[in-house]
Amino acid sequence: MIETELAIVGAGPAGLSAAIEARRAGAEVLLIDENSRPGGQLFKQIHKFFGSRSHKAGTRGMNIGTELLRESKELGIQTWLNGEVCGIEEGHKLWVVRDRSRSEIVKAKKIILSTGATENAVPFPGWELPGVMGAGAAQTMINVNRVLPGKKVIMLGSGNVGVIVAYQLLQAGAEVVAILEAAPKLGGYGVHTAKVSRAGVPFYVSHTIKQAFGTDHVEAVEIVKLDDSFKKVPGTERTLEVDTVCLATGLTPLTELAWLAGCKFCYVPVLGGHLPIHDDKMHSTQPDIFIAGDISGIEEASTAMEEGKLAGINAACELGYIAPEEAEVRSREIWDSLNSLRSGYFGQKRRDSKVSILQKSEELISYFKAMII
Amino acid sequence: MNRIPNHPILGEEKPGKEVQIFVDGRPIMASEGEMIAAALIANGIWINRYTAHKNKPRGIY
Repeated sequence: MIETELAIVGAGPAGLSAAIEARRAGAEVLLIDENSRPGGQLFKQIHKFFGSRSHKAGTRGMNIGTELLRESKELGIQTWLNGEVCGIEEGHKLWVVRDRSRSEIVKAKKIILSTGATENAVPFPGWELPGVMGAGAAQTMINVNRVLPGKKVIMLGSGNVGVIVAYQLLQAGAEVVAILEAAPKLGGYGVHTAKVSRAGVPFYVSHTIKQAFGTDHVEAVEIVKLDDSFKKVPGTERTLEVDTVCLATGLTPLTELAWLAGCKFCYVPVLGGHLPIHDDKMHSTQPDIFIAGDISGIEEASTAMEEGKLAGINAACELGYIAPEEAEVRSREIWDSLNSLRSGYFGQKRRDSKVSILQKSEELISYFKAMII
Repeated sequence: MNRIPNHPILGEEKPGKEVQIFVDGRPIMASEGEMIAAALIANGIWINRYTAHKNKPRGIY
């Protein structure tokens, strides 16, 4: 068994930011990631980020990833790659399978879960054919592995992931035949949507895929119009010739470890579904377990990094490395930053949802306090 | 070949060391250290397996 002060699960933008803050304060940190490379999804994000300059707006995600790795290396943060955390046992013990071959138990005083999210799929006849894939999978192939997963692509979903990956498919040399959106309005930021639109990609709102055709691979899809209650309108079907279908239909927080740890959950559709209730320090309802990034609600890498910092600072504070007053001041600064990231038409909804989670957390704390009395 | 040698943002890809791998007995060329799924796609191999019951093809997702 290995002992550490702070174990962090997931070395994406949230986990790396948390590790950097806690290590800089002096805490002993072990960062664990199941992939062979740290950085999470940052290295496939070749586009420039939004926000103000303090949020590294205008910087490409991949460059932010390089910067975080440089800092974590400089601080000498101990990192286990190819390490799958398969369980949390009582006493804050993590069961880690390293290199797919040997088990290791890590006992930590504090744990931060920054496990990220997984892509949602939408089922339709033919969805299991080779050529139907998550938009994120296609993005990994083109931007990280430099191979083109298809030449004629249809994108299902017009949110930021859909339009950004569509644009990156164009940059990689593919043709994007259409972007479909089930809702009557497009979902992504105007800047991204406009870029794809200028490139001549047609958008179909109130449309979805009815089925995909093909024997060994996708050869075509049948699309159909949807009415106001999202029901397919008979007679509006048309067939488009494509070899690839990308599904950009949302993400779900990866919460298994939080469930195993006994964290209390809430259901918030705007933030991706079931997620651990947490307070303004990113504390879950379990003592000593913090969460940060997409596990605490689907947002963006910029908010994930701020939440990671919050978790890292407050975990280090509880370990005695940062004075509570200082942690308070720094947390407040991060909250100012988070609030500005969660502004505007898209951000406000996420901000309101986050506020409702914080309220739930307070209610829960007072409920348990009342039980004890 | 489905590789992306030139990219407007990522630039030119420096070719890595080429290695030969065998897929179902057939030799294909891959780049050393790259993901196997990527090497398969680069060589136009989309089917990774057939399902046990209905013998349907499956690829990456």
